[in-house]
Amino acid sequence: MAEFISQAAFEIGRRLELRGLDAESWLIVIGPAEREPEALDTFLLELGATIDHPVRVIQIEDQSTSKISQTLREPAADTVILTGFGVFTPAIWREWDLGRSRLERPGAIILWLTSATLSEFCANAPNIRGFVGGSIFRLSQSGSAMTDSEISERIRELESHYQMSSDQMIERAAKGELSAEPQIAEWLILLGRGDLI
Amino acid sequence: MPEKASERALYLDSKLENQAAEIKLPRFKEVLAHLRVYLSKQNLELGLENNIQQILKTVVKPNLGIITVGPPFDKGPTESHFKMPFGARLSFGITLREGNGACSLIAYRFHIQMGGGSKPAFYRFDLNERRHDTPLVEPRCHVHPGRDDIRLPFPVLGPIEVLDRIFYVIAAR
Repeated sequence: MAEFISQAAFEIGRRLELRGLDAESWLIVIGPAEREPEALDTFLLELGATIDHPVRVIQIEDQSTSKISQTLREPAADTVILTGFGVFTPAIWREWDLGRSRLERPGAIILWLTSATLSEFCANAPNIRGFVGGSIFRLSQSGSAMTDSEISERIRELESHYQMSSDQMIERAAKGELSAEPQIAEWLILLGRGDLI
Repeated sequence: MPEKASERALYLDSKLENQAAEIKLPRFKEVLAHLRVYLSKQNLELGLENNIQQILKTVVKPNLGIITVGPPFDKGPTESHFKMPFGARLSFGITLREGNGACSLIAYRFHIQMGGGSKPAFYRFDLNERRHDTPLVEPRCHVHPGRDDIRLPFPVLGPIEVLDRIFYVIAAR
């Protein structure tokens, strides 16, 4: 399996914008294997914010193309993310490939796949694969959570700036003796003492 | 402290307090998504090379969260700042409380350090976590026009609205 370009939701959205949001587009986004529902939710939020255009998710399950085509047309011009291909057998992929004309619509279709379902797709849906062409992207991880070392470093900066230890800060916060600067609220949360806010 | 001035400041501060309480933001993940996209768009439009994935950081605790770019205090350029044109740099921290599918503002700080000898050298928009005893010198929501010891009252804004002032009003000059 070839390696694919890693792209953030913003970059994928920009590609859709450049093609035209009312142009028929097929893309595949390879989502992470772990924490998939969370990754899909984040992708949906960021894509929607990027293109400022309606985006919806459709759970495919094992729907036939005739069933799904109705859903794709209501409405027809938004951007749709199709997910739930984990249950697809090779036979269902082949049925989809044969009935691909029923899936055509003016708005973009994004197939949300995993590495495993991508292999099945490529092996059994060569014509839809042709629609997609080179538009297969691995979703780059947003990775915004501060690491433990970043949190520790930040706490050190705060202790240095305010010239007091975290324990001293907590003691003073509990007595209501601290200023209300935004950095104090951040410090308390970093220490897990949001109860003092 | 002039009595009437302090009374006027107290009244204004109560209005700022109400403004803060009235701002309702979407759930934390959505606020984060909007900020990530906003900064990505600015990056693109200004031809910058900030790695948004790397500099936009969060800390999430049960019903409280922080979204940051850059250090808590600007003491010089760092890799974690959002670098802007003409040598300016942006750092911010937003503290939110989440409940019932929405977020409310607890505090924020947005610091733009200007470059190239600009005056004032920086602007910082602060929303304090609570009111101060002397709101005439420290309103709950204020802007520092280049001095840490001067705080002028400022409307409480949503995070994107503050960034709009930074990118389209301050940095655009």
